[in-house]
Amino acid sequence: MLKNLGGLGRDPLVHFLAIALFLFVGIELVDPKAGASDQTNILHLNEDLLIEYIQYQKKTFNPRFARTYWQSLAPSDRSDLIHDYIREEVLYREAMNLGLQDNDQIIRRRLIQKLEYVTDGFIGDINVSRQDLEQYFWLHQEEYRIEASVTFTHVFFDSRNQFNNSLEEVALQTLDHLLEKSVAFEKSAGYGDRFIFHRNYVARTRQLVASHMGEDMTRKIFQLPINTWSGPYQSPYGLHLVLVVENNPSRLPNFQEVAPLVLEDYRRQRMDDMRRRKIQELIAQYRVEWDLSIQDLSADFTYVK
Amino acid sequence: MLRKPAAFKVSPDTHAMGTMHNLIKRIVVLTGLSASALYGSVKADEPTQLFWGDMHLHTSYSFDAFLSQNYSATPDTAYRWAKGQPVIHPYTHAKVRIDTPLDFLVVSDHAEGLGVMRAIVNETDQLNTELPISQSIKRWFAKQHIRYKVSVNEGMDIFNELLPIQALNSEDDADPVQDPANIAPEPVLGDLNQTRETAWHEIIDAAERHYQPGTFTSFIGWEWSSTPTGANLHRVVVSPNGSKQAKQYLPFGSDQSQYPEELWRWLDETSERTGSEFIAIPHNSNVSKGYMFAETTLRGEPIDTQYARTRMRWEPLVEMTQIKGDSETHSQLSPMDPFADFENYPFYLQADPEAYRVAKGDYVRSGLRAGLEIGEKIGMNPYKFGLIGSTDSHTGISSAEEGNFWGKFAHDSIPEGKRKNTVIGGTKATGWNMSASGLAAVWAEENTRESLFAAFKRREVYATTGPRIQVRVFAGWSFPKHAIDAENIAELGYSHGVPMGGDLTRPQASDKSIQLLIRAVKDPKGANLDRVQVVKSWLDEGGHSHEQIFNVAWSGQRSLDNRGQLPPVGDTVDRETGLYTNTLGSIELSTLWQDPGFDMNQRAFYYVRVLQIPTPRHSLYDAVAAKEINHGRVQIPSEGPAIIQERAYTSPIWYTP
Repeated sequence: MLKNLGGLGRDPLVHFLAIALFLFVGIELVDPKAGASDQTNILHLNEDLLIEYIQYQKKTFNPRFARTYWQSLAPSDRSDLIHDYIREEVLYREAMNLGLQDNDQIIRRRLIQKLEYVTDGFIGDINVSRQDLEQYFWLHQEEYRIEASVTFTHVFFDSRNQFNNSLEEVALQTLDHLLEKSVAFEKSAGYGDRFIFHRNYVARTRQLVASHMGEDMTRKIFQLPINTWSGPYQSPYGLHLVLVVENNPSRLPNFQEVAPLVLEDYRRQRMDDMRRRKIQELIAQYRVEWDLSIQDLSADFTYVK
Repeated sequence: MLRKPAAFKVSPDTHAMGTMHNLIKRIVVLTGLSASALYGSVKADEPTQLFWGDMHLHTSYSFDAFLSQNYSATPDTAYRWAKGQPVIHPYTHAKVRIDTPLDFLVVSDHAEGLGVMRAIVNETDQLNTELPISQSIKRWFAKQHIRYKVSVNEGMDIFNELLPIQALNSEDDADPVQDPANIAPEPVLGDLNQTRETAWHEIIDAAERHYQPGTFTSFIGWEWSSTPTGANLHRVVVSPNGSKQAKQYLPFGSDQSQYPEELWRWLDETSERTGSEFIAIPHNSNVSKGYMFAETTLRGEPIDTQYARTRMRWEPLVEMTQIKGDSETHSQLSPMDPFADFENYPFYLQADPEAYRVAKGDYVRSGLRAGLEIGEKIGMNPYKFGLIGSTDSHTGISSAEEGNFWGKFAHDSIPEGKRKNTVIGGTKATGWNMSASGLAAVWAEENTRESLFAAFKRREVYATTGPRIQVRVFAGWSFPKHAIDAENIAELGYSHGVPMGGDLTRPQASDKSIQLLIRAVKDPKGANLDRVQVVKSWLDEGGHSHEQIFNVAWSGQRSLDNRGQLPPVGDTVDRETGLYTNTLGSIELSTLWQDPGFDMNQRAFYYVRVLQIPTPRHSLYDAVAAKEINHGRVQIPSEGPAIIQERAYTSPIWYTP
């Protein structure tokens, strides 16, 4: 958010404002009775003030460093610095007197931003009922969808191995046997070659299976009927016979499963709503007069942030 | 400790590679068996499974992350990225997504000023304790200054002011904490704890929300960031406990003490008081100015058994590779290692420039060696640690993927930012000096806080520089020969030896030599493997350590020369397009290696290093991407090579006579 406002304070006015406020506070402390009318033409100078000024000049906020720097300056450098300070301060005050801050887009933006922060501060804690949460969940269920997963074992035929018969023939022979004997999930390790990744895949996502078996074969695995051997399927490493025992399609979770995430999202949305409402309330205090030049706009125009 | 699946098979037939002959034999044998309950028991097939994570990640709650323009990435962003969901990048505002999701994540923001910069700029800070008027004005100014600097995206100026400066005392072993140059920044903001507590609780709540036992594990943690006179002594603290324990304390920071002994004392007291468990993980020993694995304590006192015991109680792991470089070894310390100097990072964390000097205490291999030497002297090894990699990214985005690397900080997340941003302080490091590294790999029974934490403590973990290279290593005295190709290598490994991170002691028979059973498998989505190496160190009779590197398995038809060196694997990387092919290298490498120089009277350790074939470095990808705006030329940044050989480092296995 702040990045969008990048450069808004590049105008030195922002830190001059800060210095002015310091001055104001300083004057109030030193001479609380000073009349407002005199202030414009009195410019107090003291070492602390200059040390603060150095810090803004050097863009480093380290009083010790600034003091050392100040003390190390030759008298002529010191008077230059004081001169710069006075010049800036006077120009700043004159600019304020001339009302140059009015209609300045940069200052305007910064003030708006500050008021938005202040508004946020008024929002405070949000009370959340379970009913609110569940309702929010029902409206946004799709955002919490659980990925599809699959549980299968496989018998692998390594394309690095040399056979008299083709790899496919061997695979098909083995498939016949696996089907005929209804070879069980946990017996799969008795067949075929060792695969570099896993023998059994339990509740694995499409992304993981695809990284091991390739996209083509993965697409097939996720469509296979359960509890029967089939294949052979080609992966980048060889051929596979596959027994899927569970195929969990992508599904919507129940409320309990995702309650903590729902709470966070709900709170965030409520904050946004309340901020918007706050601003609407402020706008409602104004009567907006429409100029003829924008007559075309529909009457139900609503303000959005 | 390890649960063994009931359906595990140890049959001599299962290991045989499938020749036609064996296949038929197996079918014949199995035809005689009656089929058990149809498609009965469903199990993953290994006693431990491999889980991948990042144990060192910062979000906008870290002061330096925020000041470097990460204004938006929260712990929630970090977890969503880790789980594979698209997120908004805090700097570019583009939609970004990890290529392969992580299994676990530790969000480890700096304890010092936790959440404070963020709160000041968002005007949610609670920095309103009573102060004398002059300090109150100072605080007001400091806050305005921070807001102003951040609003013009110059927050790094504030970070640079907070950096330490080099020591005035030039003695090598002097205590840097007591150095006259080691001055704590003036606490102009007053008491930070109320603001820190709010941030800490938000971090805890995010971890709790995202914990899905069995699927994704979030750990509660933070970073203790002690850097006296630029010597990096940082530790990431990780706890397996949840909100109930973690809300009973505030993270211990280096503003409380810069001595690790004080951190350990606090961990001890806090675990006693709250029932929390902890480990602390040192990182960036490479820029510790020799202090991380020194021969003395930080105060310059000799290391005694009390120190060694305490350190090993809290610090079973070290993060040896990350974005600020790889800390395995340096060519000045390992002149015989042709793969030393990988992703060196010779830049100290300090405001004033200082030439980098290589010290023994800076690198993991020399640290492990110092551990052997001290262990021999005092009877206890203070540096007996396992190895992990992690990113230390400050963008909330854990990216160790070369082609999907999002920088150290937000402001160096894009090629332009990497080019022009001096990333830290007075050093000249740019975003291209950074390394797109690393990951923590864990062999554990299941993906839960308890199971992963137990694996951290037994050091059954390893580091990679980014790729998901799978590595098994077991050490023992007599593994069955068929184990190399056995599907149940893990079962055989655990039953005949010890896994990475483990210990062996003097064997009963005197003619035995240590064997390592090793299997490395390529990253399913990544490059093939070049070679597997064993790094061995041992103590001679005088108590001095030595090191040697053995090439033990490799791809292709290469052979070792008479000095044991192997020719390079080759290189398929196209410098114009940033593409490479897997026409070189192996998809897996296995071996049963026996140490030819084993002496049962010598202390020793062994760890395994696995190298990939060359692939493009992130800086080459940037150069290719910028081709069109560079008049069609690929200008490879001079900060690093165009290509790298990514690697995995396993935790060592120690032999103690």
